Amino acid sequence: MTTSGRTTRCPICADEFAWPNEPEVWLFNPGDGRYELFDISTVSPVKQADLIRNGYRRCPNPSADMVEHFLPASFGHHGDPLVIGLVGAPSSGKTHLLTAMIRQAFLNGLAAYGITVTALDFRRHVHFRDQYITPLERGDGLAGTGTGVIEAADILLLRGPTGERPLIFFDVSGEDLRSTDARNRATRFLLGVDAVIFVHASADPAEKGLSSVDSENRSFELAIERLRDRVLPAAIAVTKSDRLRYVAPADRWLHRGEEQVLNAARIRAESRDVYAYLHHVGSGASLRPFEAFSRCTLHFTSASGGDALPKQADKEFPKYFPRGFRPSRVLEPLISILAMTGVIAGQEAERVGMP
Amino acid sequence: MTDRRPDEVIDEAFFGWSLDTGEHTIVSSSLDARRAEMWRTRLQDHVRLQPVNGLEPPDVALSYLEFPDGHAAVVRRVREGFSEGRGNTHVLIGSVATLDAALALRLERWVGWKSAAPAGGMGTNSVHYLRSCAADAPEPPLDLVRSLEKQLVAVIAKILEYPAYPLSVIGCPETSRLPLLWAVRRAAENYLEREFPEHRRRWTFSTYEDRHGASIDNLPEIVFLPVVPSAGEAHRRLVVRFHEPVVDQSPLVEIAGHLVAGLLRSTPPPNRPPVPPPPVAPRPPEPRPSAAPADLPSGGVRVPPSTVPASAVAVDPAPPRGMPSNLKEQLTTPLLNARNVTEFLQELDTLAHVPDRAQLRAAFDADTVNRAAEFVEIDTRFQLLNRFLQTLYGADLRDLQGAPEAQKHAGRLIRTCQSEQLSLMLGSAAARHGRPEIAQRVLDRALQLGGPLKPGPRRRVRGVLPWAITRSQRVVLLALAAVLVLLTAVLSGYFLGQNESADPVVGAAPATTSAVVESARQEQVPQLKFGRAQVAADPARSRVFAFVTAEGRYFPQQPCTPSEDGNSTWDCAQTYVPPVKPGAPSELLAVVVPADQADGLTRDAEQRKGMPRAPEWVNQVPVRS
Repeated sequence: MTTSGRTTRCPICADEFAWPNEPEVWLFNPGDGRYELFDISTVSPVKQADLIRNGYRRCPNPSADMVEHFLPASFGHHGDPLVIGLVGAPSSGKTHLLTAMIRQAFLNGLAAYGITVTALDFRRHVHFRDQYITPLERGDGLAGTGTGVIEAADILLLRGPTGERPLIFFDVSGEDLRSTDARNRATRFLLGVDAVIFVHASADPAEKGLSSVDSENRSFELAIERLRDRVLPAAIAVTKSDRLRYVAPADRWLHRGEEQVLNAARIRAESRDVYAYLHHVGSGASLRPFEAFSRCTLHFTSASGGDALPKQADKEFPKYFPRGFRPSRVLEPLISILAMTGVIAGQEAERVGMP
Repeated sequence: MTDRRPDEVIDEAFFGWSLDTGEHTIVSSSLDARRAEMWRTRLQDHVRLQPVNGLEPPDVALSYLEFPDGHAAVVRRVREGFSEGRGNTHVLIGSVATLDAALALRLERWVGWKSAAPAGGMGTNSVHYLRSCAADAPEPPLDLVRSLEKQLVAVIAKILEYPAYPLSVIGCPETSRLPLLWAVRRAAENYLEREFPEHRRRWTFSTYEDRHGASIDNLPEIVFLPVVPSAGEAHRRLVVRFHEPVVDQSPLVEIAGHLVAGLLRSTPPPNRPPVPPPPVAPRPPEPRPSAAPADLPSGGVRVPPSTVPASAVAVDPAPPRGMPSNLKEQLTTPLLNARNVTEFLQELDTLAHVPDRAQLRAAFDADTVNRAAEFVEIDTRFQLLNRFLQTLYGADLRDLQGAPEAQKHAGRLIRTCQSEQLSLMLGSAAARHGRPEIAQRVLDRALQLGGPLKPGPRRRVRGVLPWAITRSQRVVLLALAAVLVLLTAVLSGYFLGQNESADPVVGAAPATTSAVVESARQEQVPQLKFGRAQVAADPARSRVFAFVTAEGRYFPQQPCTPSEDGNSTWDCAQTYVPPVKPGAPSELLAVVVPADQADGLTRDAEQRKGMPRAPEWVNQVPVRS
């Protein structure tokens, strides 16, 4: 096997291996959902580049502990990948937040920071758009994520002043994140993440039938313990903050909308307010990431702008957003992560999340 | 009221949103806490209805799942509950013996299904009650089944092509799914059991799935999906598109047509397939190479399927959660299972395309390489020489029977050829065909050791010439020659018999010599295990019995004996090697069985009879040497 000499960590199985540089790529056949191996050594360099751009390489998974999986063939041709995992309880709004975040990023939401976003895995992004973004734009509520998902939700490419970096998002079921089964493959991504967005839903006792807040957040606890030995940046996103739109200080932050300038002091101020709010409502368990990670920011976000309601009075679902889809401040956790991981560079970025 | 055996009881569990824990889990069941947790883990990937690509899931979906410990579950998901993707699901749990696919298929309209979480707890059901309910369920209307004839043929033909592989049906209308399943099973089950006894179909099914990736544990054999999943999860399943016409006129389609006609019009089913179905060790379903490179995107040459690395597709689907898919086995087993030179070379070609040779080397440790080399040094050489001789003298070397020129040629070869093995093979064949005067040449050759043999020109470097030895060694060699003649005769019968029986159309039993040789091989290297196990058993009601598990079956060995150490420690020993594929992983277990089963198991052990795990075997632990 010829390799590029560069070591890559597979975000799916968390194994490290030398990125292969062979004249063969796997192409996804949408007809039957299989990957097919192609020898591209005989075609022109232009066509080779195109096939690599659209093709895949199979992860060798040296540990042999994961089912077969594939990465974009150009995955190893860019800068170090940035793997971000979303962690949160079931029904905390991880999928809605990620969907709104990626949508806003594709709407040039990061342009103010000199960053553009495009798909690195085109097929995967088309799937993500069809499965999540389009229904949400239509005003439909999204289904809860199923268990046992091992694949990345989306693989994007960030282009900015510091170069090109693949951006990989993982969004798995809250039930999987609560699983204490060490063999659960769905949470394997935690071993390879470079940053984590912890998602805490603003409580609505009526929604889940809970009369009091949880005394512990098991999803957070388990993830923190698995990441404890690593120095990672983290962000805590209080989702469904539209429920707090008349509650200070959340109202003030929500009314600001998306920011256009990186300002460490402002991020610190918002983090301070979120911390105070969570502490006040008794959600101290959800502040554990702030204590566990040396660089951590906290944010109020609203992925949809309001609660979803059943479309039919006699059925719990499907649900829709009667006031439409109006995300607010969904990019703020991502921007903080980008600043803390060096994708957004500069002195201001270096101060983000610092104590 | 009579006592019910444990396997006559069907447990129930209900999945929904738990207000206590804030997650989708079992909210009510007839199970104790330990079993409830076990079943939650087992079923969690099978109890949700997820939309896919903007398509709404059905209001109801029915699944039938089997588990390696002999349990089965019928799962009914409804589009009601907490939220989309976290809806309500009612599950029936029992043993495979009682809760089988036939029963599951007829439970669609069972009155006991619950769509909302029961207010109180849940009880158990008797199998008798469920069966009586199922007996009242009508079979699918024949008109509806007739309208699915083309699709039935397509599905059955695909199963015949790869009987060991699971299948995904894409785009089947919701109302046709259970009738299709019922008809496929009714039309093809007996035929598949008869023609492919080595591939036991469990007939597990799911009428709705949104994905069918290899990462999903215990995905049923036949599943229905509205569209081909585009998420990019690798899968290892056959795919049949419901609305695509069957254009293939292969004999398998013809057989499938006969089977379906047999169901719909009561025409006699085919007795035997007209063409060989897939080999005993079936190749996995692989992407079909396109006819012309012109259809390839932006150029490129599709690598032939045979060169696709085995690990891509040739492993069992959906390994159990937490049991890492054993890449070593995936890489080494096909090569070690190669039955002839052609297969061995094909597997080598496949392995040559594994991108990471370091991984390959890690898989082929010394033991594995020894086994492969042994095949090359013994079987492969024999097979090549055998093929060579069959080319010269016809199948089974039958020219030696009546062609004087062939007999003369053989005699000359035995006397002068360089290869000891070839001369011995010729001699043994001559003896088998009643030409002792030719076989005698082998002994003459041995007697001439050191004599004026006239070897022909050599094209390859050889070792020390066999006749350049001292006379003191001749006696030993003479004895060795006699042994080799006998062994060659046996091996000839084995391989020739294997070639003849390799045609699955005939379906002939392997030649007797094959069985003898196989048996002899196994007994030469028994590798019997023994050791101690620690497990508690009530001596009044239970016995601890040693089993070897291999290929998913339990092979009883003998009762374990209490150890002098006491403290529920047992000495257990393996008494024979189970009749499974060479190299198949096995484990010696101590299993607590009901006392009244011990005698029967001892008889089964004498017959080396494998069996599934019985539900009444309450506990099992590995035996440590």
